[in-house]
Amino acid sequence: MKFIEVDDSRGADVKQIDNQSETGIYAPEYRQKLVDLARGATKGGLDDFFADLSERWTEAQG
Amino acid sequence: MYRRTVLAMVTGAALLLSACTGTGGSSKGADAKAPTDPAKVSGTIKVLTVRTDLVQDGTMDKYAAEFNKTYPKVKVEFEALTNYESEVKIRMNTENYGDVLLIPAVIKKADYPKFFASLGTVEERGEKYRFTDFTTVDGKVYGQSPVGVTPGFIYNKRVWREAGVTEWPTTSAEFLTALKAIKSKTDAVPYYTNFAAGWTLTSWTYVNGSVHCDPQATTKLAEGDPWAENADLRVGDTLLHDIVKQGLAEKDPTTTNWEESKPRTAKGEIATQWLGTWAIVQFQDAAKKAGVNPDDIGFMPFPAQTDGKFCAAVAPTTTRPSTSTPSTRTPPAPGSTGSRTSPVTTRTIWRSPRSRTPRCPRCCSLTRTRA
Repeated sequence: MKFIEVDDSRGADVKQIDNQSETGIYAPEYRQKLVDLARGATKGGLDDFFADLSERWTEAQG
Repeated sequence: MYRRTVLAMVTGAALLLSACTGTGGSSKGADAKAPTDPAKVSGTIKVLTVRTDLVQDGTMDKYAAEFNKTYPKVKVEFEALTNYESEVKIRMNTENYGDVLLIPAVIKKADYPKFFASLGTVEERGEKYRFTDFTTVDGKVYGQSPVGVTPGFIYNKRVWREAGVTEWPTTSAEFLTALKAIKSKTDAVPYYTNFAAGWTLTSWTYVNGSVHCDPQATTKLAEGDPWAENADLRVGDTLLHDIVKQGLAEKDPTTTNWEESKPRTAKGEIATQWLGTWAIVQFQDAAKKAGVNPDDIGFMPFPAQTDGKFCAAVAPTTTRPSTSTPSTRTPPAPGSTGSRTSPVTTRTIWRSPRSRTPRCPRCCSLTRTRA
């Protein structure tokens, strides 16, 4: 078992991207959507779901 | 561990106390300095916490008593919130969010100076405390974590053993196989999402760093695509998706209950949950209360290995663990009007030797200053 500390010097940038992209990696909604997708409560595919997240995230990176 | 938390709180509160006497007017990015004579400080300080359990069992009162040895005239009030993150997020828009609190994860780091007072420069604090970079804005530290945690799965060892799984899975595929064995060989729900609580799902973000044992994982989030093939978040999210898709999670995620999930896991009705080291103590307590063996509570890392080793990212606690966050409010300075100009927040940092393995919930405290 190895323990590491992750460098957080870009943490503020990540939060900024997160906010701007309205992805919400520090909020529950996107994974509630993921779970709903997985259990068939909503329609769609996992690849499309990730592609949408990727697109919004990378756009917000500017 | 509790003792350490107390110390951290005391420190944080002491720093905050000064905030109410020191800054007057706007305290944007103001420095919080400890009062010279703690015995003369009076008022009430309110601490917001996720630790519903510690408020109920009286542990927090003991913390307050300890605090009162230094600050005899300060009344400490605790408010425990089960849905801490969502409630405090809303309350941050009002005056009613305590004086010391865990920094809600949604608060942008760049905004910390708007809400919280600084505890000092990163140079001075970094010498003594871990995780200072998590709360540093422009060289000043705005919060302190009393505890370091690593993410991981809480699981019922007896149930996993009964399913014939005795080794920690090393890949997502092995993990899914283990959950399937639990489903077919035991009566337990193999995995519990705790969907309704919300923060329990958010905690999947903390696979970041552990999946590929990468200290620069957060830099990669800033510069790369978190959902690219094999990226940490995609790996974690895919595992969560597959668990649910393959029928290995609870039947109706919308009706989950966090508090109940603790004794249910202890009793073996639930086999596994993605949480963190901070949860271990709570689940062991739940086992004792339920009259079952606390040694059945196990903890395992994310199922991935780098160079043949499991890896876990150590980080200051965030607020969402339902378990525990105390908040205090800054006692008004004698003669003060009690009007609040700006809040100070502190994320408390664990102050023991750097070599120790961190465990337990993180607490950040946020304090407000009063004119």
